[in-house]
Amino acid sequence: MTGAFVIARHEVAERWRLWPLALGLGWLPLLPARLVGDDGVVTSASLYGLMCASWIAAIAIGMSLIGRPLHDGQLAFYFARPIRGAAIAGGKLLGGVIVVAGIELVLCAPVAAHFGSLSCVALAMVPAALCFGMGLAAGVLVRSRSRWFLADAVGLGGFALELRWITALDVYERDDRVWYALIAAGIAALFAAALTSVAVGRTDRERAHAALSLTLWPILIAASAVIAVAALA
Amino acid sequence: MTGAVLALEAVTVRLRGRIVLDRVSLAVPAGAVFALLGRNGAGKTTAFRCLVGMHRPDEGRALLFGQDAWRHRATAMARLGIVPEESDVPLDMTSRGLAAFSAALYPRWDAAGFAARLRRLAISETTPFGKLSRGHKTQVLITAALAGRPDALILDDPTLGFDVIARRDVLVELVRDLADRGTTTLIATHDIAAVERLASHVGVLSGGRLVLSGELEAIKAEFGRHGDGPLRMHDDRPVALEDVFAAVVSGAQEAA
Repeated sequence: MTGAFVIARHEVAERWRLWPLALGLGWLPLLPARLVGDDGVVTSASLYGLMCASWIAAIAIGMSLIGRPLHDGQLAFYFARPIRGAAIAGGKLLGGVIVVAGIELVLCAPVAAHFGSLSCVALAMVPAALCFGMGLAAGVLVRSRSRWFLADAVGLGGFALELRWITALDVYERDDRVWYALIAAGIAALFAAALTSVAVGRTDRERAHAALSLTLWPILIAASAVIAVAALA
Repeated sequence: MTGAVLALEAVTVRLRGRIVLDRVSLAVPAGAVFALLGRNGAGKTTAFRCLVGMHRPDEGRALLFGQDAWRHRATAMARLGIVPEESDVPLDMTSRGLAAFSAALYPRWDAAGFAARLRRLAISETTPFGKLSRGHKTQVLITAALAGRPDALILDDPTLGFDVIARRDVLVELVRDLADRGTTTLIATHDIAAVERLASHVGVLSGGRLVLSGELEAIKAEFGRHGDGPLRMHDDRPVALEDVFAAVVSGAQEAA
């Protein structure tokens, strides 16, 4: 586990500039209220803007974590050292999760303190995890430039058809937990695919993309089908 | 291949439908300095990537300390130092940061030796990698590779793009360290003059095939055999490795 923690620490330290930036951005929605002395001017639009910024940041962090070093050949820095592939993948993922969760907390802290409620943090965190996972997958997909892009197109098409089927069943009207379960399955599939991509693909872009596609779509499609069937039952 | 510290056994690698390595077999015995020569694109870097377990051969296998490099990469890496062709260290990492990172991973990490070698080379430990010159980056990488007290060292063209003076500085330092330690070394380089000073064994890759391999002096003796050797020498001047390399590579290209 030493290797994973060393890598996680390095990933967090490498992104230290994001923390003061997030702290500054977190105050922006409260700025008008501070200027005119009226809490009513903290608008929904500025809060949604803050949320969107945090989710975009989560995607960007995800894309920079695996896809960029895979493309630039910098994963070799880790694979040339006595660290297991799973520890490299786990360390990178752990570092990314710490950064994304920390950034979300710092971004939302001023608003949460202002209103005396943590609901803003909770609202931001789950979509941020999904965005981070999508960033991880998108990073590999875009940066590997491999023919496995076609497999992703087929997988995405299949998943879209399945979602349409689930929507037509109206299962979400019976139980909101179906959607929560689907989101959780999505996050788990994306994280598992990213881990496999690094651990199996190592520094080989095509192999990494293949591992990602062969993990992501089967897990996502199978888990969604199981959730839908369970909800119907 | 038994007893070899680093070995390739009939390794074939295809990248995007093109054969990059074609049934390549080589063995680096303990204590040897093995120079792998070849023109650009001959497959040297791919061979190294297979040897360090970063790339899985399509056929055959790569062995590190007698074990499959792909399956046992992580454990073998603790005994191996690597200097890649291009620095892969994150640009904002300093030499001190690299030492701290490595110290946690290598059980035999020589922190004092790392700092002393950088002081001797007048390289700042606090300058980020992105701001170091190419020569200094390579020296830091060699220093880090040696600080892990490796049993074997792999150097992928460490002086590529250097001028003559910088290249000599790197190699003189390297020769001194290798002589002190007796480390098994595999080096890819275009600097044939340096190979003649450094290497005990030589291999030549051409078009993904290993067209020559053996002990340097034996190869030179074979090629320089008066009158009837492959180079057909007709005087008594010693045969140069450069002539052997040129003859072997052009012969292989004509055969292909």
